[in-house]
Amino acid sequence: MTTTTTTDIVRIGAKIYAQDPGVIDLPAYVPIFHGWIQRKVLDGVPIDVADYAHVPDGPGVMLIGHEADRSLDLGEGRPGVLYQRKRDGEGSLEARFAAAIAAADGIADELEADAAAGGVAFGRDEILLKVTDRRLAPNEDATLDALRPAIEAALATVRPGRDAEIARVTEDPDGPFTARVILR
Amino acid sequence: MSTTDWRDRLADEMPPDLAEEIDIFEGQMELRRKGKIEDRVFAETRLRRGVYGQRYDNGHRHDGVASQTLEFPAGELTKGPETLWDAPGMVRIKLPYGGCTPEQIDVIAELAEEYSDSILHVTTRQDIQLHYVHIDDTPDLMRRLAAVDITTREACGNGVRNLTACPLAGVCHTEAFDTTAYAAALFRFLLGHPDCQDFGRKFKPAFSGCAGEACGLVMMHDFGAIARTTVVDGVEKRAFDLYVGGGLGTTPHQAKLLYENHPVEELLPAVQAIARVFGRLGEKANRNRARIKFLVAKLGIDEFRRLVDEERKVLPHDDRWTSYLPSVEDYTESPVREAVPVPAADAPLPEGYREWLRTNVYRQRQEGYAVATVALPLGDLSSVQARKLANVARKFVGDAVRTTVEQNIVLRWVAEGDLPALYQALVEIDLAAPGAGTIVDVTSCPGTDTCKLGIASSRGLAGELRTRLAAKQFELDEAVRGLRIKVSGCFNSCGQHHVADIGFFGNSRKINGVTVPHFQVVLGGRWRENAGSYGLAIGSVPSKRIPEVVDAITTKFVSEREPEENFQDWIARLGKKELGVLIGDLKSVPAFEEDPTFYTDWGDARVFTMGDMGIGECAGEVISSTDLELTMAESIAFDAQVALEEGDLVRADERAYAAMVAAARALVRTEHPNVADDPDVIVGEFKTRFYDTERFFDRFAKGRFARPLFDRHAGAPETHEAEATRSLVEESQLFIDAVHAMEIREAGAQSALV
Repeated sequence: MTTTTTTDIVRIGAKIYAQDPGVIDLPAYVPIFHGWIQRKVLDGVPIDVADYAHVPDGPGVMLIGHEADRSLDLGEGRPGVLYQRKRDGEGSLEARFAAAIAAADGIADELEADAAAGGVAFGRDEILLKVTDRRLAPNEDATLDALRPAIEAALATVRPGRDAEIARVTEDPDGPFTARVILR
Repeated sequence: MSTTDWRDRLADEMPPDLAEEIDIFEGQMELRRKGKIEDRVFAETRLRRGVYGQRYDNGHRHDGVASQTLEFPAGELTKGPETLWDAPGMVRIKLPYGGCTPEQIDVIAELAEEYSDSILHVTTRQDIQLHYVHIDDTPDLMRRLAAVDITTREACGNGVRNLTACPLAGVCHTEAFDTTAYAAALFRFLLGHPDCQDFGRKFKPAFSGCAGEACGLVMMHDFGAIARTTVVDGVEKRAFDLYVGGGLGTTPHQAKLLYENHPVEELLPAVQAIARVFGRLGEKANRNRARIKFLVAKLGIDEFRRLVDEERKVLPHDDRWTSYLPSVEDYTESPVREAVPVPAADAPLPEGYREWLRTNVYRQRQEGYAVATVALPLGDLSSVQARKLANVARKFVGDAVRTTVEQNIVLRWVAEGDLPALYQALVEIDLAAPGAGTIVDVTSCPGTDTCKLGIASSRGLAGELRTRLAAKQFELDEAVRGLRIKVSGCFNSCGQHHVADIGFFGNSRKINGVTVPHFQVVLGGRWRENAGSYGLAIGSVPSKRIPEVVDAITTKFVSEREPEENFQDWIARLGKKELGVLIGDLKSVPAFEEDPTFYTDWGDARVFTMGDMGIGECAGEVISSTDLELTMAESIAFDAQVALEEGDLVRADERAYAAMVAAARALVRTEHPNVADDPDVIVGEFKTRFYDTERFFDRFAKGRFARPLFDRHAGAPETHEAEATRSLVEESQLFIDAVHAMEIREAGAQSALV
C-alpha cells in the first residue's frame, strides 16, 4: 500500500478573474500564447496552444505545458487566468500553493502589459484554488480543514498583510476540490 | 511501479483480468524506463493499451519562426521510435457501440480534469479521447476506467478497434432488429482474442440495423454486419448480411458482401474465421497495404469467402459463439420515466425549443418516447458539462446514453412529455444547440491540433465553418441545411470526408516558394445506405478560401437544382468539369505581402512552415518550372476524374497514369533537366533518385504513394474494373500531393542548411 497525504499534492490550480470580461477577445489569445512560446517568456516546457473557445464555460484558450497549463479560462462563466500545475511540484505544500498563485499573477501581469489583450485587467482580491486530485484532495470540508494552514501560509507570502476569507466551493460537489479566497 | 494507491483502492472494483493487464502494462513501463524493452516493441504494447502519440512527441515543434526543441525532463528516454517519454499523448477510451452510463461519464470527466485538459472529445468512431496525457498517469487512468467497466485495450494499434453501431439501435423505425446485444457479444469475444493479435493493421467492425440509413456506416468498415429478418415456416428468423473489406484512408474501398442472410448463431465464428484469414494472409511488411481491404481486393471476394469457409470448418468449437444468444431476446433498455403526454400545441415552450425539437429529436418507434441529440461543437464538451450532462441523463433517461459517429451524444428513451424540461436542462449547461445532423454540425478529426499526421487544421476549418453557418442556419435553404460537411486534416480520412456531401482533407501547396495550407475538395459522398458511395476530389483550394467554396457550392445547388433533386444527383449532373470551374477562381493565393493570412492556418497564429519562406526568398518571385509541371500533372489528374465520371474507364486509367508520370517527370527534372520524355526512363529515374533513396518517403506512409505508379507502369490492366480505376484515379492525386510534400520537405531541409 502506498501511503500518501495532502502534503504530496502537486496538481494545484489558481485562477484570478478578469475585471471587465467584455474587453476579452478570445481569438486574440491564440497569437498571444503562441508569441509567449516563441519568445520563451515562460518557465518550464511550454508545448502548444489549444483553442477551446467553442466550449461554453470551458477551458478557453490554453497554453499547454509539460508541468503546468496556463489558460484564459472560461469556467463558471467568469473569464480569468488559470495556472494549473500538473506535475513536478517542488517545495512544501504552502510553497506549491504560493507558486500557483504567483504564476497566475504572472500570467495576468503579462496580459495586462500586452496591448494585444485589449486592455484586460485582472483582480487580485479573489482567487479560486483548485486541486485536481481526488485521491489526495477529495472534495469535502475535511480537505479544506487539512489544507487551510498551507493556503493561509501561501497567502501570507503572495498577498502579505491581507485578511483572507477561505471557503470551499460547493456548487459542483462531484468536481475537484475547490476553494475561493476573498482578500480584504 | 505505482506511486499512488489507486491500485489498492480500486482492487475490488476492477474486473480481475483488466486489473492484471494494467499491472502488466505498468511493469512494462518500468522495464522500458530501464531500457529493458526495445522502444519499437513498447510502442506497440502502449498502442494496444490505447495510449497514443501526439503531435510534437518527437520533441520538436515549429513555433512559427524556427523549429524548437522541447526540453523535457526525462531527456532522451523514449516510449517508441522518435517518441519522447515525457511528451504528452492521447488516450483513446473504447465505448462499444457508443454506449456509456452516467457513472462512466462522471469518471471520464474526472480523468479529463486530473490527467488531461478538462475536455472530453467524442471521435468519429464513438470513442472518447483525452489529450495531453502523460504516460506516467495512464495506469491509474486505466484503473479508474476499469472500475466502471471500461477498457482502453486495443483502442489503438494493430488490433480490433472500437466496435461502432447505430446509436438508434433498439428504438429505430427502420431496423430489422436491435443489434446491441450482438455487438456487445462480439466486442467481448474479440477483445484480446488470440486470433486477433497478429494483424498487420487495425480492424474496425461496425453494426447496422438496416441497409438504408447511414447509422452504422458498414460499407466503410473492415467488417460490418447489417441486420435482416426472414420468415421461415411462419417464424421470423434473425440474420445478418456480413460485409468485409471496406475502409476509407488514402484509398477508400466499399465493403464487399461476404455472406448474405447469415444466421446469428454463426456471427461470432464467422468473424473469428475472418480474423484468422486476415492474420495469416494479410500484409505485414508494408503497413500501407496491410488493411483487410487490400487483402480482399487482391484475392477477390469469392476466394476470400472460400478461405473463410475453409477456416470456419477447422475452428475449434467455442461455447461463447452461442452462449450469449439466450439473453439476446431479453436485452432491452427500460425508460426511467413513464411516457407522459406531449405538451399541448398552444402550451408555452422555452425559447428555441421548436427549432431544437425539429433538428435534434427523433421519435422512437416506442410510442411516447424520443431520442434527443446533444450536438457537441467539434465533438468537445468540458468536464463540468459532462458531469452535468450525466446528471441530466440520470434524471431523464438513466443509462440510455450513446455517443455517435457524428461526434455527438444521444439521450434515448426521453418521455416525449419531458422534452421541454430536458431542453431547458440542456440550455442551462449550454448543450442545447440546434442543428444536429445538419450542415452546421460539422465533423472533424483532430488534425494538426494534436495529430502527428495532420497536415492542415481540420478543427480550425470546421470551427470556422460551424460559426459561419450557425449564424445563418435559419436562413439557409432546407436543401442546404440537410447537407453534411466533414473535414479531415490529411488523406487518412479520420474525419470521414469521403462520405460527406461536402468533404475536405488537408494538404499543402508551395506557392512562389512558400508553403500554403490547402484542402482538397471532395464532393458527393453518400452518407445514407451505410456510407453507400464515396465522393471524388475535384481540386485543392487554399484553406482560407474554403468558406467561399462552401458558399459557392451551396448557392449554386439551391439556384440550379431540379425539384426533388438531391445533392449527389446534382453533383453527378453537373460533372467534375463544371465543378472544377466553380472552384477554379478560388484556387489563387495572393502574395504574402498582399495578404499574409493565407499563409497561416485556421485557428493557428503561426505562419505555416515558415522555414520554406527562406527558400522562397532565395528562389526569387518566379514560379518554378517544377510548379508549372505539377500544375499540368494536376490538370491531367482532373481529366482522369472527369473521364471516370463519364464512365470512360479506359481513358480514366490512362489519364491517371499519365498524371503520375507527369508528376514524376517534374520531380526528376529538378535534377536531370534533359530527361527523355519516355515513361520507362522517367519512372526508372524517379525510382533511382527518389524512391530507392527514400527521399520520396513520407515519414509515416513511407513509399506507399509511389507504388500505384510502379504497378501501373508495369502494365495496363487487361480489363478495366470501375473500382480499380477509381482507385488509380484517386492514387494519382495522392501521388501528386506526395510530390508536393517531398518538394516542401526538401526545400525545408535546404532552408535549414542555409
